Amino acid sequence: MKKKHRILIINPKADATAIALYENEVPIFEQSIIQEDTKGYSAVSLQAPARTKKILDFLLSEGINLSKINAVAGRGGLLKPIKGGTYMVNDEMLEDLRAGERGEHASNLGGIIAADIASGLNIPAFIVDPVVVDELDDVARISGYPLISRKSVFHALNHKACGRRAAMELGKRYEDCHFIVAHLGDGITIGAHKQGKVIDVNNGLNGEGPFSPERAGSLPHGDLIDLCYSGKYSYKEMKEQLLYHAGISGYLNKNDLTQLEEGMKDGSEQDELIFRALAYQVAKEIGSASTVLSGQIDAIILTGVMAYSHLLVDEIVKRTNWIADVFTYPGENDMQSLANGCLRVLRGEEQAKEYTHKVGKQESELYG
Amino acid sequence: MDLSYQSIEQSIFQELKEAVILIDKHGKIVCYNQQAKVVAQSQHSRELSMHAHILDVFPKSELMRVLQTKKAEIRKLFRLNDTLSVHVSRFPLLDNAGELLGAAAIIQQDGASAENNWQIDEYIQEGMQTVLQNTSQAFVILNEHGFTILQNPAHEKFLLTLQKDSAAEAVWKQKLEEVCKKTLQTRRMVEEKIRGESMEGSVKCLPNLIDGVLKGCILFIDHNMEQAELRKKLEQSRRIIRALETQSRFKDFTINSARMKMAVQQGKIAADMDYPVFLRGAAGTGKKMLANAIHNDGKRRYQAFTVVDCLKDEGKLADYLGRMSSKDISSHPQGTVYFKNITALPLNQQMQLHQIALNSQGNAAVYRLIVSSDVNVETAMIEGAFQKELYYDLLQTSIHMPALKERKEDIAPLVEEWIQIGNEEYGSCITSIDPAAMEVLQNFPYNNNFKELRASLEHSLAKLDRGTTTLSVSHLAFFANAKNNQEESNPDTGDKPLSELVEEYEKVIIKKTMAELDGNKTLTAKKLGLSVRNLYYKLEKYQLN
Repeated sequence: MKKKHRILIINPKADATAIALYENEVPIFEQSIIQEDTKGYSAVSLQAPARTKKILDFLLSEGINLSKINAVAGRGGLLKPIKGGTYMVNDEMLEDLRAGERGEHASNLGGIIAADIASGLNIPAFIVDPVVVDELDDVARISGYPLISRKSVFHALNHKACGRRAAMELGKRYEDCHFIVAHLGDGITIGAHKQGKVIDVNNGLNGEGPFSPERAGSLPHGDLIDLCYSGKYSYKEMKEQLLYHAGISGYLNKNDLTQLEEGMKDGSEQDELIFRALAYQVAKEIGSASTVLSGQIDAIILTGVMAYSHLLVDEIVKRTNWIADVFTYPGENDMQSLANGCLRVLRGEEQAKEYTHKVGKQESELYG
Repeated sequence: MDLSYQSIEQSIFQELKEAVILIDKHGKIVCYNQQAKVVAQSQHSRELSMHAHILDVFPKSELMRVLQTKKAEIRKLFRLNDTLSVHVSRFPLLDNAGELLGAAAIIQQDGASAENNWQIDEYIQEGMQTVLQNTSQAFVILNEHGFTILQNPAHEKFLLTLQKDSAAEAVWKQKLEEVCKKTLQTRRMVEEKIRGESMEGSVKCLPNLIDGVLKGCILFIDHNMEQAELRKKLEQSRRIIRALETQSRFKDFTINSARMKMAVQQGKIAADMDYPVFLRGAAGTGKKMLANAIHNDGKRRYQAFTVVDCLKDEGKLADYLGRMSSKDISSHPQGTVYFKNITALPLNQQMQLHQIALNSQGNAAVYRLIVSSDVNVETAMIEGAFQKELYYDLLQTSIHMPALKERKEDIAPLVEEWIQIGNEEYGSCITSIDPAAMEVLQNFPYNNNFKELRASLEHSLAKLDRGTTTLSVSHLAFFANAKNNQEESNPDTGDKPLSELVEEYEKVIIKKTMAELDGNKTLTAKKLGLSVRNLYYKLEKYQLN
């Protein structure tokens, strides 16, 4: 009989903490705990004690036996660039998460809260595939302009979880497969997974790749520079424009794929054009990733919330199915991915990695 | 016509209490008196004036109908405005030849004729009736003797909900009687609030006075009985979850008996202190449950509760004793560490535990220590098998857990509670227990106390036929079997339970094997398939040393 591992998952958001309790791969429950008092803190990490108390009080009030929990997994935060995998939360990681030097973000609380809870329960705390996972090939870091290096910032947790899931369905090890994973969420990141490593991926947050519901994606830089220096926009305005008022939102003032589909049903030609352009750009980026993997690809994986759209998936598949079979795993499944990462370590299928200040390559070292 | 007579007539016309309006055959006003002006003003419409059309001044006037029907209408109700209706008589004005000249309206304005709309409008009356029937506020009309005359469905529902909670029923009934009596005596409104453990509400009682005569009273009741019932059900569900999760709280104990109440009370005191706790009592009396409650209701509730069985967990025992006695605080386990079967500890480890107990005393920053034993520690100490120092450490907060036979009044509620949990776990649907079955359960000579009772009930529930809702004696197969086995295997065993007989048999076997091997304990343990530690424990238990 399989040993039962009970795992508490902590996924902090800006004004709530999503938690889940898993028994092996099965969720016992999921709950979002609203955190009203997030404003009065000078640093995000200072919210940890209040959030921890609220989580534990909730679990106790529901009658959950805390001592039955075997491990706590938190959403990884903005750490130094590291390889993918499951990391034990240690003092050095906590130091970096608390300092928030690489940015203040609610996900920094994941590791801190997990460690707080786990230490009281004499159990380990982990983080799994944080957004800072960096496995880029050296050749992929070259941007074409020496002052700018390409960075690896993407939805690593979902990318890796989908890669592992597809490998399992193919009856192979993730470390033996070549995949192209397209995460189609608020931002779009398309990564080339080579033998368990994401050797190239577009930086969806900072303007690479296809446009998405609210972001611009790659733009001709000459025109962009002209726009920036036109005197019409401040730095902040330009940033906000490209991150929140571009893409579908910029063209059609709609920030949702469903609205776009409704517009198409009503016969809007403009909506249809933008929809086709979105599928076209995603397919183009997938095509580009296929060359990264020299055409040896086990599968293309479409994931993220936009993968729920049959129309979009069909449109992308039409253009890409000559490359490889397409697997669709809609949604983000953060909690399940965190639980799976933790289970691999608890079952001894994978060794937990240790985060040290040396492990995280210095930015200068990585980006020239 | 005589002018003076005409002016007198005019004066009388103007001073009439009734409002009078005359219209010509086209509907234009040709004559009205002073009172008619007042009526028009109260209608908040256009000012009354000569030659204005009647419908412009009174948009809902029905006087035009009389022009068509030429029939008088006596004392008809007319809605003057949103709140008031008046009586109107309408007459056609005809000449001698019967030709229509116009029509007159006489509006009676005195108090007796004017009525509030709600009294006369049927649809409003019906509306009010619907509101009263469907409002969540319960009300009841009582006569002067306190007997119910009329009640709304919310009140009926309230009474039904009360029937399910006898404690709340008693409180509410007493309060309602008091309030009612007070109102009837004082003829004044009385308002009171009710606060209880699971209920909250208020009651307002108004005297029903008709022409100054007391005809009874009306009670308005605001209550949270439904919410309280839902909260109770939620707490029951959580209690079941806690039981399945083995996550105990003090409120989960059934404490009708004085002895158990005492034990739980002592546990509550211990939970707030940072001293080692010693739980004593026979097997199955709930020592672990109380240890768990001390942890969960104490300040270490966010930390781990670790159980170390001194009889079975040799590796874990050494590890925890090592970590707890370490000078490196970072290696200390967090939370509560519960050592059960403490008398099975070898003497050297008892000394180690003594040091641990000393270090943790009064120290809120480190782990809490709870130990338990189901054998007599004093006897072990006299025989030199238990360290005096440790004994005195533990004596300070020692809690005795009573056996089930010492707390018989707790058995019925325990059975009911465990049947509820068993229903969840085994998919059975027992809703009642046959009194004869309950009697058997209450008088059974339990050897392993609550543990045995629970196991027996679970055994019975697991084997129930589908659809059985009442647990009867025939379902208590475990008890019947135990009894039969006793009778078959040893007719002379009297009332001794199976577990006691097993122990007696075990004692004989150990004694015999020891004798065969010249008292060599290592060889005896090996032959019997026991660990040496376990053998020592059993020797001590059966006093074979």
